[in-house]
Amino acid sequence: MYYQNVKLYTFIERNLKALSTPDDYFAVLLVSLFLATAALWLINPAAQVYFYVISAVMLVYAPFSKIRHCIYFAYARLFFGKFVGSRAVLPHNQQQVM
Amino acid sequence: MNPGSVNTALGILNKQLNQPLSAALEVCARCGICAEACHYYAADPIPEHVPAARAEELRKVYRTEHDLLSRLFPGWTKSEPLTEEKLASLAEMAFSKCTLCYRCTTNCPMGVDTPLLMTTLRAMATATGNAPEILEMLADAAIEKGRDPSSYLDFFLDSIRDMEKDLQDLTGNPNARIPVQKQGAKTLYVALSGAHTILPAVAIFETVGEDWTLSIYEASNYGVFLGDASRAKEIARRIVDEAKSLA
Repeated sequence: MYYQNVKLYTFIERNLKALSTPDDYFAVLLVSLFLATAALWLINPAAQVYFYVISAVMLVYAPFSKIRHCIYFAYARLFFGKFVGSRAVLPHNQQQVM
Repeated sequence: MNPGSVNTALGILNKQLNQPLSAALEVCARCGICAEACHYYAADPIPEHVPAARAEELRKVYRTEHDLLSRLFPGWTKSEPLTEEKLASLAEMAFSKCTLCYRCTTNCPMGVDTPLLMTTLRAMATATGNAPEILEMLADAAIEKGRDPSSYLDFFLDSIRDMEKDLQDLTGNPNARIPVQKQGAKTLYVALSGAHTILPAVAIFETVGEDWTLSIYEASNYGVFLGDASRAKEIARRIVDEAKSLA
């Protein structure tokens, strides 16, 4: 019983479950299908049409969903770098210990 | 709570919605890596203590106001409009479940600035009278101190004279002194607050023979804790003015 609980716990991460919205699940599904059909196309050229359909759906849905973090994350990194990098807080190897 | 506090809070959110705040609100991928970085989560590992979950509470409100999909289908993105009850719970969370330490941001693969979101929530809470009263009093007292330092200067100087005895014991130098507001000193030391933040630094200054002086103000800025930019500036200005007057 204990072993089963541990297995279930590792499969369903309770923090992520509490955090996630239906949009998150759908976004992950779309991106997974996009990658899967891309891989399938390499194996079987007949999968090309599925790849294009999934890609189109994903690209249309991306601006409205959490997938847009793929575009915006660069700005968050930029602001983070501006905030801590300009003060030499990070990276730590800039700090000399005497 | 004041009537119309929801509109006031949303007004503060919209006013503060600059590029870094927009990025912090948009970018979270909800991966949960920040959980392990948070000392609240380390002490009590419940989902509410995950920094992303705290930030998500503000994002729910933000999405209701600014996201097309969330306006059309609130359940799809778990968006929630701001209500007075929600504002009170957000304020309680922003003040008592985050120390703005930036460990979550440092560990975030996206660099999401969760403390900035918590600061924004604090500003919304302060503007609507939901901030802890003690912080408001401390901020106002600090500003008052800057306006008229003479009211407490004698008491402060007496406590410094007492501290000098501890310094002499600590350094073994019977002539060790703590100079306060010395004109032309090379370094102005602004202690965080209290003897425990003054003595260790003073012992080092004394030992290396630094030309320094002690500020009569404390470095703690309660305006920053409140997320209140105008009070924060006023509190910081005291120290800048003091430094200029001693130069």
